[in-house]
Amino acid sequence: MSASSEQKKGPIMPMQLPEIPLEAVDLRDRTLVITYAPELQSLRESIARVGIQQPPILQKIPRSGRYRIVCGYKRLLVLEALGFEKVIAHLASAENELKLFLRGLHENLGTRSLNVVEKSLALDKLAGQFRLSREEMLKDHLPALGLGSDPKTLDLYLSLARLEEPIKQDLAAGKISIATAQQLLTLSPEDRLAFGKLLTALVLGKNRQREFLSLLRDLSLKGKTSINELLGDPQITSLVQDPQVQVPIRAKRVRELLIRRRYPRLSRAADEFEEIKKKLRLPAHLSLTASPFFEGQDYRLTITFRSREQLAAAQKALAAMAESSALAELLEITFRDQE
Amino acid sequence: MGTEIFRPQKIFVERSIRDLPFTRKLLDRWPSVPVQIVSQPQQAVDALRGEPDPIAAGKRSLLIARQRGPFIKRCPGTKNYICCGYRIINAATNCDLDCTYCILQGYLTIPLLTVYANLDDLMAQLDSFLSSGQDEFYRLGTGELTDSLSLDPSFGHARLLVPYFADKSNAILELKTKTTNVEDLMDLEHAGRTVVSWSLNAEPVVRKEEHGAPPVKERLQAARRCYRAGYRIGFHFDPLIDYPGWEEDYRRVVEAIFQHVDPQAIAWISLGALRYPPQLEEIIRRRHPQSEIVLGELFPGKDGKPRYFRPIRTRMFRKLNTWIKEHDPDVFVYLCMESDLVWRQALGWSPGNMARLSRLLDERVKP
Repeated sequence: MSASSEQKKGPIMPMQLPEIPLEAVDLRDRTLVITYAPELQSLRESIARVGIQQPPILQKIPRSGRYRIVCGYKRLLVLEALGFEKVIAHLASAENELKLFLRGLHENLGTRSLNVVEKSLALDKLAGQFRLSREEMLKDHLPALGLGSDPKTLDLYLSLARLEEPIKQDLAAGKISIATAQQLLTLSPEDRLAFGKLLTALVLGKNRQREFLSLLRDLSLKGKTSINELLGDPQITSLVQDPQVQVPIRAKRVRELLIRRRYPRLSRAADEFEEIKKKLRLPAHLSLTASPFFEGQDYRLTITFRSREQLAAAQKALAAMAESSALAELLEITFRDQE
Repeated sequence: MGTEIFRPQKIFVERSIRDLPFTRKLLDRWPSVPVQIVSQPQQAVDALRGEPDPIAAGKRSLLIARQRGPFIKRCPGTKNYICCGYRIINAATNCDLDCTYCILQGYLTIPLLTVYANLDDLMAQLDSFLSSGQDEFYRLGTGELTDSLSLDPSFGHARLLVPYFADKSNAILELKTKTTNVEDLMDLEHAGRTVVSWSLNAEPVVRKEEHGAPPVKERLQAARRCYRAGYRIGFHFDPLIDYPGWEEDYRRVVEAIFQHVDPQAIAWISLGALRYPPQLEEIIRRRHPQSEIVLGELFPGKDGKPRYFRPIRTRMFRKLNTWIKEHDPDVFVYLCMESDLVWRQALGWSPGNMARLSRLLDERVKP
């Protein structure tokens, strides 16, 4: 997409606003910016077609003569990417920085939903950079962000701001749930990053994230090793990276391996049960299940049929099962101890 | 002798019982402890809000309140498992010990150490309860929602209840404890109608999981004192914890029991494996991050509570039972909250239901 020479001078605006050279705008100065991991494609298409409809707000820094972004970070990024040289902008009067920050924040809140990381950055700036009291944050700013007024929520969001960049990016993109991120905060940075890489590789849903993290955390505590080391285990890395297998199957296999390690004795019993089931040679329309976690001694047999012949075949299979030595084995495992 | 003397950091007193003798006695005991009068217990609970660990804070605060509900309740038991038909005397709730596995952490609606001052009501309810049943025998205990003796030097419940039960032919009192606070029991008239029981565990479990409780050896020394004072003795291995090396450690405790107490004096020994309400796991992980008990192979049982994989607990029960029976085959061993299947697998027999187990236990202590 190319911008015309007319557009490169900046969009036509009805009001008389100053035209600022884009190179005078410090895009790296994020003092008043909370936008994080923005999605720019649709904005880029819009600006390329019709230019900017809402001019950004800039603050002139007298010492350097450069401009700081108060509001409009995404628009300025797009303008730069499209090769614009100038931008028409509102210039903020010499208000204090907190006022400017809140102006930018509320302009954002009025026009779009902030992602989790943006909310956490906003709160982090209010607490750290602008030194607002906890009471002010709970009374005014947490509710303004749609987060209620629970002190625990404030603490959580302030902690999220300190997560490592790759984790924050996944969080902003919705690949990591807040619940998972909250759990990740209890881990070391190395463990967090290792888990983040696993999530990226296996594309896990929110429930699976929680399950994987719980399994890994328990295995790490049991084995007195870190999650980072656990995930470096050759058996796990080969499953995670197996190029012959589709990602969902990789995730399934890694999960099975983790469950086996976390619950070795239940896994052995389940294997034994499956072995005996094979020996029973049940036809496909007969399914045999044990009581959940082998807690009881009952087995359940389900017969699926759609014809007299299938029912008769099931009856025959049941009769054979009743005589089978494998049945005795099956009934015996209920009474077996485990070391 | 192992257990520290309890002293609350703050006392809340419910207005309606502030002038009762029991309340006055407790307030006189700790004259320098700040006291706040509250119109209802909820105000004391509210005072814990904002504490980083309200459960720990609750263990340092004492609420002296009025028991408005019944003092005597049935042990709630658990669905689909065989219960022993116990009755609970709720004279106090919560405990100053801080065991990692304690269900009280997630069970109590008032997370403060709470003691009820309307003791006249307690005694009246006991009179009424024990005279209501026809030919029924009752086993009652104070150690279900608290430790029976941990705070007894302050509360003095044993001094009230032990002599009371001494002339009751249709009931027995069980005092369950992990502590060594038996001094006050020594001169009481008990007439064999009180069983003093100790909750026991393997020594590494005691050190790691039973914060504030004395070592097993000291508990058994206290048991020996009670045995010598003529009390029947009970032991509860609950919760048994599965960890590498458990066999040797638990076997050592079994040996130690019989070095301290004559088997003839043992009313019963119960065995129960680790289990807890599902919501407790998060509390254990948060409050006791060093504890590894939640890392066991625990799965939801028929009551929805996580408990060890059945073959694990069966094996533990069978071993403990064998070691106990090697010392004396007549010691009565029972399982706490277990299924008929596990009873048969572990002990080779099953009472089949609560009524029969209850009767068997009654027989052990009937006059």
